[in-house]
Amino acid sequence: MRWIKPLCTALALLLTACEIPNLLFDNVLDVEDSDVPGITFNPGVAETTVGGTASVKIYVMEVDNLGGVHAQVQFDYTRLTVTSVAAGTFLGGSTVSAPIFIYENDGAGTLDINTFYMGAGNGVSGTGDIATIVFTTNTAGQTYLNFTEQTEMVDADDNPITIKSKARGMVVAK
Amino acid sequence: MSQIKHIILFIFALTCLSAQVADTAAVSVPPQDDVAAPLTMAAPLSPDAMPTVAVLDFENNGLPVYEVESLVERLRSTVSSTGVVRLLDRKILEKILEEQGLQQSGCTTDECAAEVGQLLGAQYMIGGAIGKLGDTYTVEARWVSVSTGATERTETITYEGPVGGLVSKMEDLGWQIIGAQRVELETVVADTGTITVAILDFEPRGINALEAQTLTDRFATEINSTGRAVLVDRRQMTEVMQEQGYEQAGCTSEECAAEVGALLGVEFMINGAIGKLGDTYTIDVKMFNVQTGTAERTKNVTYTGPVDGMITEIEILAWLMMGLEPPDYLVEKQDKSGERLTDVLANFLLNYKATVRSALVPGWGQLYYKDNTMAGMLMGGGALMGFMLYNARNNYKSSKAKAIEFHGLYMDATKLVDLRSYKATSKDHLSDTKRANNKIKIYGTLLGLTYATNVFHAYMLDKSQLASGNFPRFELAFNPELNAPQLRLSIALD
Repeated sequence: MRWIKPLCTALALLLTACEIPNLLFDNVLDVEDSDVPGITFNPGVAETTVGGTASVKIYVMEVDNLGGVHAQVQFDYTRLTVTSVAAGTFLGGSTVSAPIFIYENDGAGTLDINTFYMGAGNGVSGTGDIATIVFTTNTAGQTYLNFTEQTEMVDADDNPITIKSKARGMVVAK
Repeated sequence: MSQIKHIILFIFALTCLSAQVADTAAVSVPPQDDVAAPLTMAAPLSPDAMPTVAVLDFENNGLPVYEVESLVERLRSTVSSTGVVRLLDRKILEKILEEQGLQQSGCTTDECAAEVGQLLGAQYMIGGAIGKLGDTYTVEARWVSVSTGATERTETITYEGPVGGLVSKMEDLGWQIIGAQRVELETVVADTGTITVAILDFEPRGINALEAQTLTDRFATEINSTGRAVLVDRRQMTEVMQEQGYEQAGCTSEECAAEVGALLGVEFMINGAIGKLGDTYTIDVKMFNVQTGTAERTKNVTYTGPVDGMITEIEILAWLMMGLEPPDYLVEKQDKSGERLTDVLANFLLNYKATVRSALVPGWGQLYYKDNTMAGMLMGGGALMGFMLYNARNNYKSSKAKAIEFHGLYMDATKLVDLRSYKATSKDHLSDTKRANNKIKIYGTLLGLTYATNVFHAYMLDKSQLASGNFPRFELAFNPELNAPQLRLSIALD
């Protein structure tokens, strides 16, 4: 019976064609309540080619009445070169005054980013990006981006905000 | 058939369950139309007390002549075996019609039937027509009173399927047209002692004379083997018949047989007919008393398969005609050899057709076999499973699309509230996707099983079931005790 084979094939296809999608819920901004306020890189892993650029944003998460941030990022400068640093949008949300944005790259693997409001009583709350860093990769491989202990956040009245989590990022050059 | 053919399993009735016990000792007659005179008897009648009936050849509308002859012969055989009427010999009928310048099949009006009946001395005449339109056969039978010349009862059957299946329908019709309820009658020939018997060559209808003669010889040999009868030598019988100016082949009437039997000095004569309808064979055998001229025992067999398989059937028939149980070796031979095996081979083509139909549309093959209950179950089951599968697959597709959509929103979101909301929604849809996928597997498996069952069932259906109608079936029947219709489900157990 010739029709048996196509019949079985069709039946097998019918039964096996339905696959469950493998969805990874790994958004770096998706953190537990115990980990906020925090600071992180987004994306957590930025991929590019050797000699290519990778854009990474620095996010502050679930902060309340944020007045200023000092983020000190360390990385292997033999592998990565900072191409540009730009201000993020989060602190621009204030209607009182525009934020100050200053950065300093020492060329030896430490990048200091400072962004703050001048004067007291001017703050923003929630989650948002404070800076965008563009790296150029020099060699193949993984390079970690870490926030140092110097990283800090203050509220509108210049009181320090406890940072409960500092997630590290990664740039992968293939 | 001596076995109980059907056991009524369930009675769904307008009234509650009431056991219906058939009285096998008496022939009961269901209520008839006002015009029909019911034939009733509480105990077997003597031949003289029975109403006399003659059966005319039926009008043929589109069938081979020998098939109509075989079918009408089965009707005659059934009418004769009811024990309710006395059947007048066909040859006498033919002779009278010939004298009147009529052909049997040309005598289709009530007036003609009544006129012929008067000449025959019959009280009732049975006539009718058999027609074929496509695969559908229609048989109409009329019960004509010779005294009034009016049709007192008509019965019609419509049948779709192989022509062999009509044989059992003709048996039913034989009971219906005389207005009696079908019962299995055992004849009253004394079953002890030895009898003297002469056997006339069986009349061939649709098979050649040589085959009929061979089967008659085998029948005679087996009659001899029973030890119940002393057979008259065939040569002696031929000589006597030649002296009387008869030829064996021409001596098919009871009148002739009785005359020859008297000359031979035998107590009983046996004659019969072997007919062929498609690939179904019918054997109708009659043994009648030479002294009284009445039929003492009639038996018939319906067989499907090659002609050589008839040998076992006819051997068994010989034992039954002598009122004896056939020996085990013959019954085993019937079960194992010829019939079953050849049935399978003969059924292959039909099964193949049914299988292909069922493979295309579940239940179609069963419909082809007239197994409407099974066809309904398979079609309904298949359609239900198909619908559920389609529904589950739609759910799967929409859930999967939504899970992926919300996952994308989750990955792009930056606010924790939005993140969590998108994540929860995406996970919900992912769960729905998994559930729908499980349902697809279950319904798919069930659909596959239903389909496989359907194809397997179509392939395994036995054609003989088709002929005998041994399917589980629902039927609407009139219950004379309750005077109400009943819906019955019957399943053959043999």
